[in-house]
Amino acid sequence: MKTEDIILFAIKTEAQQKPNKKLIIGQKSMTYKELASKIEAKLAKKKLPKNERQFIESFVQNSIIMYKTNPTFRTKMLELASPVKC
Amino acid sequence: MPFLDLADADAVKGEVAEALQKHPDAMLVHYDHGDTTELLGDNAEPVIDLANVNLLSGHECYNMNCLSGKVLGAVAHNEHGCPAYWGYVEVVSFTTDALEEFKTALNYGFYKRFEGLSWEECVSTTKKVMQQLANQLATEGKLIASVAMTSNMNALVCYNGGSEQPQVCPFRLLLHKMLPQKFKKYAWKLSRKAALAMMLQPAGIGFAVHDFVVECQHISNPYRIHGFWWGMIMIIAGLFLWTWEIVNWLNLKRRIC
Repeated sequence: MKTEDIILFAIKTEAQQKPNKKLIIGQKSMTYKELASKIEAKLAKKKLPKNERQFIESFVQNSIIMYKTNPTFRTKMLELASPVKC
Repeated sequence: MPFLDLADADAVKGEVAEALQKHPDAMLVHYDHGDTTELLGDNAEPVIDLANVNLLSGHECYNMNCLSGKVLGAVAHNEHGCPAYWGYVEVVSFTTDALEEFKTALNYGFYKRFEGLSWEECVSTTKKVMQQLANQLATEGKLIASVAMTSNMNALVCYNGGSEQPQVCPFRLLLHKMLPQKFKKYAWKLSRKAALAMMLQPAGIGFAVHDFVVECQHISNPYRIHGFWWGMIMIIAGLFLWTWEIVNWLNLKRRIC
């Protein structure tokens, strides 16, 4: 599984856990669910408006760097991205 | 240390200019929206932009806004003697599930400066705190908040004549100096494609005219590659790039409307 897919799964899980929480980016805001769907669209190479595309690209890029360099972040991300444990 | 806070009810361009001139040793603190070339005040009107950036001369500036560190901060510090400019070179983001942590991080530098630390110390301690908070948020399972915190940490800059120097494109800076006051902001908004188109077209015309003159004088070698065709290619490429830019601009305008 690629790092981007792990990030997407983890973000989707977090969005499911906190449906009403929002990410505020400058003058705009989006719910975690919207963020997850935009990341999914970006990874599927679908077209996004320029400003959203730039933010999503930078968000994914930062997540990848943190995943590779920050062990705490990596552990938690893998935990969230893994399937539901019985 | 006196402070000027633009969050007052009269945060409009004229009032701010007057206040800055009246208090030459005051620190400017801006908590609102911003852009690469401006700080916004009431009614989302710019209060400081490239036309009146000289007002920041001698004033320390603490900004909690998006992007203003990118151009405005660099120009204020490099060109107009702003002793210290604290700002962000990217869009500032935060999440509603970690508001306390973001409040702590985004105000930390201001508190530290107020306690008397140097700007260098303020920025290094703030970045350390941001890193700790990002780790703490990750441990708590707030991954989106952790990424936003790290993005803010990476975007934070403080230009104070220390180790951190503003990174400004020298060509844009040159254009900024050459343009009249009213059009200075376009030096920072012009896209690379438009700049390339602007250079290609006169160069292409030059090549074509030169070759035409050579041909008229009958001193041309028929076996060489003619500059006229190179010129034509450059003119067409320039036209294509301009069209591309204009279509993109119209598309963006339509989306905003």
